[in-house]
Amino acid sequence: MGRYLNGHSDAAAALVDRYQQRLFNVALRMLGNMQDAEDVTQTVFQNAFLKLDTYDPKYKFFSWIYRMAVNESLNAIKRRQPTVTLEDELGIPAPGATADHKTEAEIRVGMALRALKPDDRAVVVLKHFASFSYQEIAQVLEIPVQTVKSRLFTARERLRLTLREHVE
Amino acid sequence: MLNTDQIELIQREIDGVNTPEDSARVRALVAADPEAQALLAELREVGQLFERVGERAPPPRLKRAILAALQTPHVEMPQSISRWFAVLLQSTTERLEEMVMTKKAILIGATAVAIVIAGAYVVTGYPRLGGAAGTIGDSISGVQPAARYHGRALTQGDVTLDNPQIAALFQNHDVLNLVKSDAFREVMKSDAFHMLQQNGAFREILSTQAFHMVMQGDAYREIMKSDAYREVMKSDPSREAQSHAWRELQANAAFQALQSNPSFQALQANQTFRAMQSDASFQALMASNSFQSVMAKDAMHVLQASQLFRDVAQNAQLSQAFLSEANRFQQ
Repeated sequence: MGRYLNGHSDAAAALVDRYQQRLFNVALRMLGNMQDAEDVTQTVFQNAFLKLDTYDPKYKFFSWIYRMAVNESLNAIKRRQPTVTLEDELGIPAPGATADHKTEAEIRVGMALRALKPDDRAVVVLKHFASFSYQEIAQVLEIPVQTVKSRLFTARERLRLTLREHVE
Repeated sequence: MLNTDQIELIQREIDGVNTPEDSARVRALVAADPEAQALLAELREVGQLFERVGERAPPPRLKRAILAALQTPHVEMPQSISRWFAVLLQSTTERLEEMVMTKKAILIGATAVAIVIAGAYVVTGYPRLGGAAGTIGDSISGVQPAARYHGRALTQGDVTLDNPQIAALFQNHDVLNLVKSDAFREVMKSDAFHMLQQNGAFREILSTQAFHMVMQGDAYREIMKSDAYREVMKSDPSREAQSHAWRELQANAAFQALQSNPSFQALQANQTFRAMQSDASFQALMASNSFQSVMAKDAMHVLQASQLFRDVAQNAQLSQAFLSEANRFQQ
């Protein structure tokens, strides 16, 4: 990040390489749609680079950029039109998904995540797809650790029930 | 019936954060209570399901799109300008998000905005004759005025309404219908249209060499002629239609050529160009239904693809003459 601010143009590519897949996956699980996840990831990087000189190094960079990804995803959800596409409805994987054993899991996960409130979904995504600790999630979302646990446990219980219903 | 503490204990076990003592309590609970056993098993299944899904690799185009959208850092750039630029673009992004064309603008990014601007330019024409072109470089410290385009000197014959180029355009039935349409009329009457014409950044960008080079380039002409571009401009802002049309345009060889065109890159990197994007009147015009309607019309597509019209569009006086003539037809 410092190299980027000092004019090293290759530093931008390095930052993108380092974070794009993780941020893209956070957005993908939050939104359930490849195209929207691309949009959000791109917007996050644009905003991040624009705000780099306002970034306070005393905070962890990952917290800062993940927070942007989550917030941008939440904004995207709010902006969404109330229409539901057939793909969304059926949980059909986005174009490019391989027709292997992951497909069924993708469908089930997508369906279960959509059943959660966006705020709860964010906690689950950061826990299970970004592998963050309670403390790290609290830093990213700027909420108390106890709230993280409360949301996570409630959401996971909901996921459990949803998946059970789906099987039955 | 499990109590809250027992459920939390099991949840924490799933996350692997229990102490050895707590884990032992979980094992004892599970051994003694079938409900606890079922809960632990099902929660583990949830976690395993997420693990099976794993991560998706983002498409390669994402990195290219991100980097293309970034402004290359410049070590000599004063901090205040850097900060100003950051605020400016952030403001632009936020306002774009509120626009009707949000999806389109973000998806297409600076690339399509440039094309849309070219379209707006064709519709709105050059600044009025006699108006002094403003430059934001004059008012914002540190911003270098853009290189100016130096065209040939114009003669009185160029600006007369009897000019054969103007006449030829209005002999086209589609063009005539376009300028007589309600949408076109609304655009010309709108406050945003008039404010934009007075905007210094807008006037400045129209005079840059980079803009003219783009407008004259083969790649731009090919894009204007392409069905993919027409579909993008006609598409509904809804995600599905937009995405499809946009992918088609991305695959277009001319579009790819345009993105690698030095003039086009210079245009995108131009501070004034970016400043124009943040202008409220420009955004209002882009977001207006009437403007979008004009841009979506087949006749507009035909116009933009025609060399004759592009020649007119790049000439201040001819553009003015075109607008005057269009106005006359609307009477």
